[in-house]
Amino acid sequence: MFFKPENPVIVQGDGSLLVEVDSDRYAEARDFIARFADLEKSPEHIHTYRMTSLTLWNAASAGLTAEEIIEGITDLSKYDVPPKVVQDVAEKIARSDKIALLPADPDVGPELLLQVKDSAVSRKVVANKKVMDLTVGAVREGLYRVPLGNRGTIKRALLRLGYPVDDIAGFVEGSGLNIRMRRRSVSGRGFGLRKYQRQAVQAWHKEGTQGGGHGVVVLPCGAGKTIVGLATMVQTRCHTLILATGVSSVRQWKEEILDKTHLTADQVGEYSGETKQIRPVTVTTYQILTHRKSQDAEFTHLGLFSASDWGLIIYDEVHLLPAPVFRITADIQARRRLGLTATLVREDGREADVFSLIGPKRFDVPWRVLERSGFVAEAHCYEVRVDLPPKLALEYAQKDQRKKIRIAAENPLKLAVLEHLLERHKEDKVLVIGMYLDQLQKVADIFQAPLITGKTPNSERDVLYEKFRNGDIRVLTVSKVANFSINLPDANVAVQLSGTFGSRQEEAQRLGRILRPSGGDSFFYSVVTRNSREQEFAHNRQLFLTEQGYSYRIEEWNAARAGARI
Amino acid sequence: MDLASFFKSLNPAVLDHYRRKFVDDDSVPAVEALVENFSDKKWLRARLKTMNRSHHVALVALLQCRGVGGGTWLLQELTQTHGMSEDVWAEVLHDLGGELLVFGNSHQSPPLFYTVPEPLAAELGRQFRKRLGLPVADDAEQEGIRPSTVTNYRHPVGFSLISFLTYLRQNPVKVTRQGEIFKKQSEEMAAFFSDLWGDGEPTDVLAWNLDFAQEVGLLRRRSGQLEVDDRSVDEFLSMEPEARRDLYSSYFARAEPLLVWLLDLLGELPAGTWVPLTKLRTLYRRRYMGSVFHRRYVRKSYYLPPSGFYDPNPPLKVLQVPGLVESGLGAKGSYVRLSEAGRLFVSGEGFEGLEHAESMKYLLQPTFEILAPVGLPMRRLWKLGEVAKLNKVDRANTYSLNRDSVRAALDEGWRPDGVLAALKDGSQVGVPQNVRSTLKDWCGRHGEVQLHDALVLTCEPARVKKVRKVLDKLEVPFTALAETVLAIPREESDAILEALQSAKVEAAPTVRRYDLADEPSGGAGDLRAYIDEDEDEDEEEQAAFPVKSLVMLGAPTAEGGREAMAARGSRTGRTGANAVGADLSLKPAAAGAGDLLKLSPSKTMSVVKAAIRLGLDLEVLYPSTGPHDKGGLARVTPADVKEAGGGSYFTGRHHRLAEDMQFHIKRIQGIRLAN
Repeated sequence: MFFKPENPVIVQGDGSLLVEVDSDRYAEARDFIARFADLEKSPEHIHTYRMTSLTLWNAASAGLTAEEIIEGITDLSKYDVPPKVVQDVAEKIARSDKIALLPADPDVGPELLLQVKDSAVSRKVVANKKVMDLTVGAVREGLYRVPLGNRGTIKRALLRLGYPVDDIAGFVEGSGLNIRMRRRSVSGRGFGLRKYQRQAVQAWHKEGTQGGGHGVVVLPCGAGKTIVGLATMVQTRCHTLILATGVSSVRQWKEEILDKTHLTADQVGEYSGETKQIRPVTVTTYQILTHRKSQDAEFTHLGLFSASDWGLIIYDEVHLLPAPVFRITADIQARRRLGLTATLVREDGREADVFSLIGPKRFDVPWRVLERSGFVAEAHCYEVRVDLPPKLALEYAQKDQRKKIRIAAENPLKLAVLEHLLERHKEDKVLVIGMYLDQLQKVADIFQAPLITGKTPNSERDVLYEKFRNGDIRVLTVSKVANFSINLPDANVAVQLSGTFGSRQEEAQRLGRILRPSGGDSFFYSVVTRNSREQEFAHNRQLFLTEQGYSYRIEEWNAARAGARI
Repeated sequence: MDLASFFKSLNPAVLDHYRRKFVDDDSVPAVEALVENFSDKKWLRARLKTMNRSHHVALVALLQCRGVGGGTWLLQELTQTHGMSEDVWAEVLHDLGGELLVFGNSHQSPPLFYTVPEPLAAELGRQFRKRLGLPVADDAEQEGIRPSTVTNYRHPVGFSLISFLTYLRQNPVKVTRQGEIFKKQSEEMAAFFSDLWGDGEPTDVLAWNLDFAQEVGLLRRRSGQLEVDDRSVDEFLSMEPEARRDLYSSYFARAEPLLVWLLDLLGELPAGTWVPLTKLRTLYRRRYMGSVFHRRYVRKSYYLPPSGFYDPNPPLKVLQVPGLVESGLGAKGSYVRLSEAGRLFVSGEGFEGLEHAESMKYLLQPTFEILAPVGLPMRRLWKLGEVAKLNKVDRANTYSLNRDSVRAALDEGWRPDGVLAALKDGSQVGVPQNVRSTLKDWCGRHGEVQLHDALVLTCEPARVKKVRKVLDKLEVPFTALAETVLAIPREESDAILEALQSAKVEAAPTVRRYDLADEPSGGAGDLRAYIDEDEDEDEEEQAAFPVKSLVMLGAPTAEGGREAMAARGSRTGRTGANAVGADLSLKPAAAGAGDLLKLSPSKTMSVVKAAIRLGLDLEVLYPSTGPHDKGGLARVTPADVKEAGGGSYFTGRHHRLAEDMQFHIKRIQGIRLAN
């Protein structure tokens, strides 16, 4: 085994690539590897990239050969490239151009045509019942008819068989819409795309070629994903359906569209529980789309997908995509699709489904890179550990796991910590975030900090958000409803009192609430009960962020000190 | 033995033949004239030139067998390798007998052994020097040979072994009663290591590591599990690379003594030179069987055990798996050569190579994940495995620190500040604050009960004062645990014993140990003892060559052959089915006396079965069977063979212990039929 310590990359047998950030050749390595591997983790010293079937197929479709990849990583590698990896890359790249989905041929029929270019692969495809059930007969060997509605499903089935489909059947253009970006927003501020936003749009659009027009853009919270969405709308100039996480988010999308484009209010509709408008640009929620009267009933509002000739569908916070929307997405593969997220981490592990139905990851940028460039606020993360009061410690020891979690999460001494933190940040705007309403209500009562929960009417929420933005309220208490898409640019401190078990994406999203830059640093505190299950969960929750390069400072809270006032 | 001694010790009839054939001048004493002729290179070359190619081929084959070849076997060997019939080769050898270069040891045809007497072999060896070594592929062939992608193992040996031991330490592996690992666990291990061992066949690397670790004592069985012997590991890690190299070398020699010879032979070739595998096998086979025949000839044990007892194929995998030898494929077949690591090994350097980058450190990240790349010093890697959980093995191993791993380290005797200090020292970026703080939490109140690494000195109350005085004089720190119980530093034990003896205090000369293992551990220095033992095993090689038993081919003499056979019973003259011309069924009473060989389990089994069938006893080299048995060579009357689950064993009477017991085939370190 050779060893070149000066090289920056370790190629692991499982196809992951560890890149030393401090190496002189780091930039060269990063730029090369990003062409065929996904950035998976980016902590301070070593970044981890991973080559997957999808990333290699995308690289192949961009013209990269297996030889170029192997030669490149061998040149950058500290050790021998594992033979298994060499073989794997060659095999996967070789599979990338075996199957194509072609537009319908009027002489043959209205169906799309699945072309299998290799007879051995063709035999394999024919032998797979799941794939063949999605076709309606063969034109000849290697050419099969596929109904339009099966476009997504057959691609997914073939992907599971190990063969990517080069989908060149094209997209429907959708009804046209004249949409332009403003140079100065309605609110009066100068406006232009940032460099990385422009790169993200280009990576997704691919100059209008068949390879573009679908895929996922991953940007940190506060980095302007909405703006990227608007820019793709400008690129495609067609009727657009936007799926968001909640009504507040819908409103923010509308505000942004009206503020930064020339579209008028009558061109932008809201399709929610309260309003059912279908307009050239319609913003809706995942909840309304998955609504049904009973568990066995049909979904009431899925018809929205065919209610207009949409040319583009934008999935905000695409990592939250619910199962019914997955299914309908498989049926609308002829529409251009953009997924937006900060944390493509699903606790159910279905990230691959997102990629196969929405499209591959087109653009990703490490959080810390944007922080260094000043596009997101510099964040300092703390884990504050506090003991349980002795009486509760005894109770904790006797309870089952579920109750233990609750006791630890609602540790009353956390309020003493909160008091101290509010004192420490008395000039800042603070969000107190939690999961348990009783606990949050106490916070609201003790610290006079208004509470927003799922039951708070949208109108009331909007009023409170507005008061928070303009400084009338300094401390706002929020439940998990504020996990996503709430734009509170002035919040710079978040205190997390409790959370959903070990959810990594919740932790990251909550940090995201305070990353919108307002000039100063941000502070994120996670208060946990020492030596409890909560502390173990906290460790898992922090994984996504620590893998992004954030480090948590541990503060030990002295119980005697905590008991001083509360 | 030199030429003069050789000729002087010949019986007169044979010497007379020499004189008549090679000495023209009767006035010169025969021995003097013969010595002069045979030591004259030109004279000898001229004699050889009068012979044809097949004579040379037969002579070379016999010389490659170290001068002794079983009669039937040699004829078969020559036929298989060079063509022509056995009868023709018998004629060729007969001709060489006429030239007084080749002899037999019996009058039958073929004789039990063909031999070239040692002093003549030395002179002939000089004539055929170029043809006796390894033939190499020619230039055109060399260029067309592609290294194999399947059997060339390039995993870093030391890194891989330490990772393997760490895995076993963290994931206790159960073994069957026969000492074998369950298939499921074996598969799990191979899968776990596949990213690091994937250059070749992971199961082979697993088997190699397992065998090596067990053989040298890094692993032992205890309570039905494989357990890492920490003291042996510590000794292994303390060894200089050269000493570790010797340990590997001893291991190879135990696996097959000729492997080291083979390595040296390959090492003599220019770097990168490929050797045709078939030719290497031929040379190895001749050398191997030659050694067998040589020993038998010297001992006059003329019969061989059943067919298949000997395996004359080189166990190349033992060398291939640690990456010393690599194979290639060319237009004309398979080839082997010494790898770069092999070349380092042969030149006497440590071949683990990358494990000696002393400055290399691992990376401890705020995620509690640790990346430990290949090249990390082995001790650092081992220590890391004591405090962190090994999650993945690859070019950079992945470990994670968690509450359980840290508590386990504390349970094993680490101190909380020691864990932190080791991580601080081993990590190239120090210990992140969140990790440091969490570690303190995890360590908690651990240490309320502690084990101390010290020797305990006990003495009679009347001697306490004197003992303390001795210790004070030596300036050895000690702690009195009770009035007559002192804790003393382990490393000072020798000095203390010596001082006590000088002070006329009667101290027991050895440290009393409380070892609760199934198999008693040999204590510190086991690995070095392993190397030393190997160096003592050549005594048979030194035995004198029995010149008196030489029988001239085709010329009857008073000694050897028929008379010798008559003493052992009649022989019909027909040869049996086995490869060396001895038919076990004809003369069972004499069968198998001779070599104590470590055989593969299947071959061991066939010997045992044959012994049972023929009603013979066995001599078995077997490890300790319990606290009262130190193990060693034992005479056993085998009774029954059992093949169960993953392993096999036989039952039999252990004569020394006078007990009926089970002998696990895999644990048998040597076996032969008892005379």
